[in-house]
Amino acid sequence: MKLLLVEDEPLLLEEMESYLTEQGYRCERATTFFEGQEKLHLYHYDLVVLDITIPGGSGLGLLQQFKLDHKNTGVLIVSAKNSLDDKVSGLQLGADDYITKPFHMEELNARIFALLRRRSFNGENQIRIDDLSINMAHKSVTVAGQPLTLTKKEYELLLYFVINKNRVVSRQSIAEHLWGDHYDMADNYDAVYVHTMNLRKKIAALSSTDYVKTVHGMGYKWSSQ
Amino acid sequence: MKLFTRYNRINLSMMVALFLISGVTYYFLINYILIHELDEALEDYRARIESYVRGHGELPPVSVADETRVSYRPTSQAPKVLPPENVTMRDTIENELHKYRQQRYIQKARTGSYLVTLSKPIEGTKMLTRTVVIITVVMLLVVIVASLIVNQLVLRRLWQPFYNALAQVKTFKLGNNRLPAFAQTDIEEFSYMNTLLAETVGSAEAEYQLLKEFTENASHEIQTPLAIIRSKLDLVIQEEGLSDRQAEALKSVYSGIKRLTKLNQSLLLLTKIENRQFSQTSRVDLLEKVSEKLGQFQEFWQNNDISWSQELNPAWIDANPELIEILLTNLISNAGRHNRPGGSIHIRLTANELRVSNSGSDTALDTSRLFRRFYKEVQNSQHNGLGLSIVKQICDQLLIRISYQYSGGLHQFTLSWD
Repeated sequence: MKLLLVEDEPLLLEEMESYLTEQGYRCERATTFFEGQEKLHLYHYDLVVLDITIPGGSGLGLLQQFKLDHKNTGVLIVSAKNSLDDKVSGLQLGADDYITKPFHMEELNARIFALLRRRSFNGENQIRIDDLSINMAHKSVTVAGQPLTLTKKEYELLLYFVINKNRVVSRQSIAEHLWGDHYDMADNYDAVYVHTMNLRKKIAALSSTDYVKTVHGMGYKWSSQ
Repeated sequence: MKLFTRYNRINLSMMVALFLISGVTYYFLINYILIHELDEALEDYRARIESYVRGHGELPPVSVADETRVSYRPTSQAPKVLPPENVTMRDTIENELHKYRQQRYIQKARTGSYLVTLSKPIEGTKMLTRTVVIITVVMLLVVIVASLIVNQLVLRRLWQPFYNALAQVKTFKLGNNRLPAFAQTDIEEFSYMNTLLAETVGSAEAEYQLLKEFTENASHEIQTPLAIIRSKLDLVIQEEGLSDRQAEALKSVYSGIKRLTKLNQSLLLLTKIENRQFSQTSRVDLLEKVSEKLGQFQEFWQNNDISWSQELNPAWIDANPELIEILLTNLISNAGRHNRPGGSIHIRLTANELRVSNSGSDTALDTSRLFRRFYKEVQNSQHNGLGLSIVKQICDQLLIRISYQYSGGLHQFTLSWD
């Protein structure tokens, strides 16, 4: 999968590139409107991560231009403006999803994963990892061939861990992924803890390995064997 | 006191004083003139008697029909003229007391000296004086009334630009980005005032817009550094072998970043609501929305040992769905957030009212500061104190009334709409 990252903030770009490359994507970068324009004109990408505020023009303008002849390219808009207008006009112009700064890399990764899966029509609905098999079409999971019954939140949590496997995912990142931005309650880390514990118990009952590790008391990591 | 009333009061008392003074002056002046006339007539009479005496050597016969009453009395005094005076005499015909102007003098005739008394009745002149005074008074009254009416009409019209300007300023609200339009006027003072008002209001609005823009830009600019810090933090915790102390420090950094992010988002949201960026409205099913919210929060309440009850009836409101969403989220999350373990939440929705009650602190909140930005009950609270001010701002924009009550150990927020 080939990704183009259009982002003018070098540190963020570097971080995105490093993590997404680690996840197995081929990443190219563009830091200005014109660079983005040029690359989009010359090459084909499966997905563009597009910052709205870039030097030389607006990401939305860029989107409008290339969407005309690259209908198959997925677009994930990144914006510092948490504005509905931007979101609406972005989606109307053909963007597939919208993520607001500041975001966690795991969230970006999960969005990209979901987006690419949606876009490839006969997409791979099955994830196999260790002795787990996740069917995303039916939202069903089996561990070592035995069905695993999960609540909706536990399923989402599992998917988040698996998509970001081998990476420490902070409690904050999980909380935001599961409950969105609105639930800024001080205690929602407890909820993260409870859900994670339940998930671990359920998997452990069917598998010999506990894949989810607690790291430094501030996050969890799916350690793939 | 209104300017007109004040002005009329001054005007009226001035006029009354003037009228009194001039009335009295008129009276005395006319009286004086008429008396003077009488005196001259008496003088004239005397001259005629003297000339008669010179010609005939005796006093002229007294005519009864004459208005001037004349009487002679022999005297031994030397000839002299006494000063004229007012006397009251009994009228022989009507048998009434009448006032007369009297001139006495000693007239020498062939038959000896006589004290001649010439009397002219003042009654006639009195009548004249009265008439003149009455006319004056009536005229003055007419002038006063007329001037009052004219003042009322003319002043009101003259002051119209002033009232127009007032009305304009009254409808002006800072931050609306709608400057009041002051009508043109050719009165210099008003035109000056309008110019000044327009300048002041204009610059206030401009300053306000700048400030708002600043908040907005600052918030936007903060987003990217926050994103960097966050992503680098996520990177740091990937490291194996962090010490416990480092891990603790990182936890604090995470929570700090979280708060800063939330604060920033809230400020941006406030600015956006103020900028009326949520103007599209549609019919929102509140029953559905509230139920949805309750569903989302129940998990947290359960975890925190908070019980809840609900009483939901169908309700609809024409509003921006996103604002309603934020409003409900803030209100309902507050109910859990400021609660205590073992506490309770009660939500009641009727056609025109939503009431969220919850247990919490044992004292009522400070209603005067409740909806202000950064109001916190406890200063070291983890929350930014913007939640309720966002709620208030949304209510103001959607014309929803909001009130707070503390009764029976419950903090109650009531929203009502038409």
